[in-house]
Parts: sequence; C-alpha cells; structure tokens
Amino acid sequence: MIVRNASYLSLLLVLGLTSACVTKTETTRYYLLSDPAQVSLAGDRQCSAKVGAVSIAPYLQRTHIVLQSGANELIPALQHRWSEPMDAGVTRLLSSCLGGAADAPNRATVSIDHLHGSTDGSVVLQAQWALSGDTVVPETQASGSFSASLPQPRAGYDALVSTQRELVLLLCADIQAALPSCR
Amino acid sequence: MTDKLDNGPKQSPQESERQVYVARVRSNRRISPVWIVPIAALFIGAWTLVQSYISQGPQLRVQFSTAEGLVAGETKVKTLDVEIGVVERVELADDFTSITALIRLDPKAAELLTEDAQFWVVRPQIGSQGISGLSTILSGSYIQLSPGDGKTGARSFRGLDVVPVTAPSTPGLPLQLIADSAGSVNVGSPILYNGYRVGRIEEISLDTDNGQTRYSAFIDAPYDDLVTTTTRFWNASGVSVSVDVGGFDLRTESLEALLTGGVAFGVPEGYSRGQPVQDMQPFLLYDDIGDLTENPHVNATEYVLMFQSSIRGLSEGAPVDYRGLRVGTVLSVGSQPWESLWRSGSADNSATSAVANALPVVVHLEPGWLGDDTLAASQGFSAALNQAVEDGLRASLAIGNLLTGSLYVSLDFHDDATPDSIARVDGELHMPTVASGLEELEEKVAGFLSKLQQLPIEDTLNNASSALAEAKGTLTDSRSTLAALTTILESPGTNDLPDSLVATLSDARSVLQSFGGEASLQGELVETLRQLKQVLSDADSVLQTYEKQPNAFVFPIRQTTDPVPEAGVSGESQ
Repeated sequence: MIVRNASYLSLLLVLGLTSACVTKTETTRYYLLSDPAQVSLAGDRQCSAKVGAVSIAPYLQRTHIVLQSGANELIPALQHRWSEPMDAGVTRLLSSCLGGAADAPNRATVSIDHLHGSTDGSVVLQAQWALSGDTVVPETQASGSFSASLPQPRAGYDALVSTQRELVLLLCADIQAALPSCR
Repeated sequence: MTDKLDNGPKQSPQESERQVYVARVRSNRRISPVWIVPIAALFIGAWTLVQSYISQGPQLRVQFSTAEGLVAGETKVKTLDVEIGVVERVELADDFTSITALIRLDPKAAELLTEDAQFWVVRPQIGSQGISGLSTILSGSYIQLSPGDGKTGARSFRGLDVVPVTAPSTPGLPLQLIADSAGSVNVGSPILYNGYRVGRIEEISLDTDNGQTRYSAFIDAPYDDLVTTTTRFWNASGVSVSVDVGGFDLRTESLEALLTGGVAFGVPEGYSRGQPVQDMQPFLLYDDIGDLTENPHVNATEYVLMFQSSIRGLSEGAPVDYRGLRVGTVLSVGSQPWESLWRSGSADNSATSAVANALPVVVHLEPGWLGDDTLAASQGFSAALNQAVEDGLRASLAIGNLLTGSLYVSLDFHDDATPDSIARVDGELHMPTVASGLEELEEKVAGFLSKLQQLPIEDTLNNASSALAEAKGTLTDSRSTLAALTTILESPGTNDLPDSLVATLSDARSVLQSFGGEASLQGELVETLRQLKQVLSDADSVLQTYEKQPNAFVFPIRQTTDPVPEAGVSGESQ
C-alpha cells in the first residue's frame, strides 16, 4: 500500500516539472546605442576630437534600459537591455561622431547625467562636457552643459533607442561647435 | 872819663839816662853794665814769647775712634782744601777707647770753630759711593773741617768716623724715613723724584724699641719744596718685575738706584699737594711702589676683631671691605700670647668663654680709601663707625678667592645682630663680629657629604661593573658578527651581486614594458575587466530575480511585461 502511494507522488512530481518546462517565456531584446552606419561629422583633422573619459550616472550603469514611469519612478526594462555598457556605447557613438583619432589634437570629456526615455514617449539627455587640447582656447567655450529632450517618433523600445542616439549626436554637435577650427 | 863822654858820638836818650844813672852809680848805686845783655835778652825773649803766643792760632781737641792716618806734626787740617792747621799731638784718651788729636789752627781759622763744626779724617776709600781720597795716598791723610752755623769758640769736638754725605751747611730739608726693614737702601743712596736725584740717605740706624729702621735723609734745596704732608716715600731699589696677562712689566727708577739702592717719593694719585713739612719730619718708607699703591694711607684707626671661626686664609694686608668698597687693611692676624690661646679649653659654655676662644684680628680702618686721608676725616670716620655698629654694622669673614681660599674682612649691616657697640678693652677698640656664611657653607657641605656617604655607591658600581661586562660581551659578539659580515661582503658571490642586480632590474624593466600602454596585455586586462563588470551586472539581475522569486531556480520565472514607451508628443526642448 505504501509502495503504491510513493509511485503516485513521483508521478505527480514529474508532471509538475514537465509542466514548468513547457511554460512560455518572454524573449529578451538587446539594443545597440551606436550606429554602424554613422558618419563622422568632423570635416578635417583640426575639427576632430578624441573622446576621453566618459562617465555615466550610476543609475545608467546597468544593462537594463531605464524608463521613467512617473515623476520620480524609474523602471529598468527586463526584456529590453543594452548590448553593452552604456559608457562604451556613448564613447563609441561620440568617437564616430567626432572622428577623433588617437593623435587628435583635442580631447573631449563627457559626463552623462541623464539619458532615459519615459512611458509617455519623451526622451531626455543631460550631460556635461569639456574640451582640452592644442587648439582649444581657454578664453572661448572650453566646457559646457547640454540638455535636450526629444519625443520618440513611435512607440516601442527601438524608437526609444533611436531617439537616445539622436540626442547623443546633438551632444556631439554641441561639442564640435566649441572646437575653434569647426566654427 | 868825662871827656870820653863829652867827645863821643851822639848818644841816645837812654844812654844819656844811663849816663845819668851811671852818675848815680858813682854815688854807690851803680849797676854793672854787664847786666845790660841779659836784661836785653830777657826782654827780647819775653817779647818773642808774647809775639809767639799772640800770633799762634787756637788749639783744639778732636776725639776720634782711631788714629789711623794721623801723624803728629804732619797731618794737616784742611777746609775747602786749604791748610788751616796741623795735628800737634795724638794721644790716647783717658778711657783708652779713643784717641785725641791736639790740633793747632791758624789764627784766622778760629772763626770756623763753631759748636756744630765737624771733623773727619780723609783717607783713601773704596765703597758703594765710589772711590774717594785718592790724593791722600801720596800726601797722607788729613783732617777735614766742616764749619757749622753755631756759636764760635768751641775747642773740643767729636770727630766723625765716616765721611758725612752732606755738608752741614748745605741748604735743604733733613727728613726721617722709617721702614720695617733696612732693605737695600744704604748711606749715600739717592733720593729720586721722577727719576731725578734730589737728595740722599745720610745715615741709617736701627730703632731697637720697635725693630724699625730709621733713615736720615736729606733733600737738597730747592727740591725740598716737593716734600709735603701728602708725600709718600718708597724703596726704589733694584728692579720691580710683575707678570700678568699683559706680559712682563719691568721697572727701575734709575741705574744708580738699581746698583746702590735708592728711595723715591711722590704724591699718590688723587691726593692734594699738601702742606710743607718741617725739618726731621718722619715719613713711612714703603717697601715698594706696589706696597704704596695698596696702602697709601696714613691716617687710620685701629680696631680689634674677635672671630670665633677659623681665620685660616686671612693674611696681613688683606682688605677690609664695606659692601665691596675698601675701607681698611688687616694689620695682624691672631697675634696673642700663647697662654691665652687655650683658655677656652677649661672654660664653660658661657659667653665669656666664647670670647676667650676667639682669635684677634687687628685691622686699620682708613678713610683715605674714601678719598680723604686727613686726621679730621679719620676722627669723623670713627664716630660714624660707632653709630653704625650700634645700628647693626658687624664685621665678618668672607671668601676672597675660592681657588686660594683667601679671606677678607667684610663690614655690613646685619638685621638679626644682637645689639652691641664698639668697646675699649685694655686700650684697644673692639668691634663686634658675627659668624660669616662660611660656617653655614661648611654645614651644607658636611650634610652633602653625609648624604653622599649614604648612597649605595658600592652596589651601583657593582651593577655598573656587571653591565659593563655584559656590554663587553655584547661588543665581542658584535665584533664576531661584523667579522662574519665582512667575510660575506668580501666573498666573490657578494662582489658579483651588483651585476646580478643589474640583470634582474633589466628583466624587471622588460616585464613592466609588457604592461605598458602599447602592450596587448593591458588591452586584454581592460577587456577582462569589462567582461567581469558585465558578468557582475548580469549576476545582479539574476540575484534580483531570485530575490523576488526564490523558487525561480525550480519553478518558471514569473515574467512581468515591461512597459512600452509610447510615441512622444512632437516638440523638442533643449
């Protein structure tokens, strides 16, 4: 009698486990901030700048794409993640934008304070940047702050990433505008 | 007979009287003409005698200690090198201790025989004063007469045994100099003023009463005006040599004083010129200029100080100070009859025995140290001192030199002194004394030595010896260790060590270069760190998942659908 009861319990366990395996899971999507087709905006060598240290806010130092859902609430997306750390993506995107080679005369240092979207489709970028190098004149604008917000053209995370890339490129243009040879 | 008388030559009146007389002889009263001759001779002789007596000079008697060089009938008597007489006879005195020369002088020289006239025999002499009387070697000795200023008529004199240094009639000032010892001053020694000879020593005598030497000195005019009441005389004989930090100081008044001795005089610095002095004024003759400098004062008051403590270190001539200002000099130290020395041995502990136990110190308090060396100042100083003693002034012994232990007498006020005053004891002025700080110092030293004696010096020394022995052992070990180190350092392997170090550093440089910015290793490390960071980030997500659903390892994760951002409202803001 006891043996018969143990056989029933084992069968139930196997059925439970099997049912768990057959549960449908949501697929995680990965996004790339930089665009391989991005063309450098720098016209010549004197107008380019090497990207130095890029620091990002601690809440962005994760693979989750952060979405603002309220005035003070952020939601890290579990199924939508960055394919690489955000500082690496920003660095790559700015480098391709500024066209800075290793021997570029100028160097840009960028600090990303905010870069996220929101559930209502608004994407925001706030950053601090600074320029140093041979052609940078201290009396001119050698540092600045950038703050911009764009609506994403459509719903979804892909449009959100595109809008964030567009904002970074706007930041790149702002930095380039500070280079003397690019004016 | 009558005719012969009538026809004869013209006769003198005497002959005429004789003739008349003869005529009376004829009347039986006639004296024979034969008597004319003896009578005439008698007259002539008498006349000769009278003339001879009248024409001869005075005869005088001069007593000498010896008749050396005197010859009767030959020895002349001279004055100013002019013969004025001759020695007629030399005879022994009645007591046979001297001789008497009978001298006949020329009548014209009688006026020279004054009461103070001096006679001496001039003989050849060689002495400290030089050579004199050489002319008498051939001519023989003679007697020199030096007339004086006294009354004439003297006929008996005492001849001088030595030639007088100064003639009696020489103008000048005779003085007396008194010294404690004869020193090197002799008869004839010069008296110098600023090195210039102005007088001489005439005579030296010993005062047997007090053992002092008295010199008869003479200052020639017009230099006698230089001698005043403030003049001080000092022995200028020989050479004075002093040695100090400045070197040698050699002094002598003159070459003559150096050879024969001499006396110098002057007025001490700071003194007035003083008043003229009279003949035979006594002066103190200082031993030397240093003695004069130390104690040039004359007017002083003598006091006796009775000290209970030891007076060892206190010597004659030590100063008497009042708060560092010298006011006197120690005259004698501890001089007292030996019978009174041990009186305290049998005495009781009363105050009388304490006084008897004390040793006397005689001091001179001299106001001259304060700039006024007069008798009036000395008297006033004594009066003021009496009052000061009643107000608490006491004498005490003080250390003058710690190295030599010399003491001096210190006068100062003591508030805790018992009332007392200057007392006259047996004609001496006794000033009260107090114990000095020497006794307190002795007690402190004795206490210190007692404590020192109680210290465990022996144990300490033993411990120190043990420590030293251990230290010695340690040093020996250290020496061995150093020897071993030396051996190691001198070994060939040690010598090759620098080359090995160089090679090792070169290798280390190569290794570090592989970590440089251009090296692939650095890139690999950065990539590895990046991956590690990514892994940690993923792990964080996993941990968050299992934090929310601990059974997610077995059961399916409850998926929550991410919110989907909507399309934004058109409108850029920057």
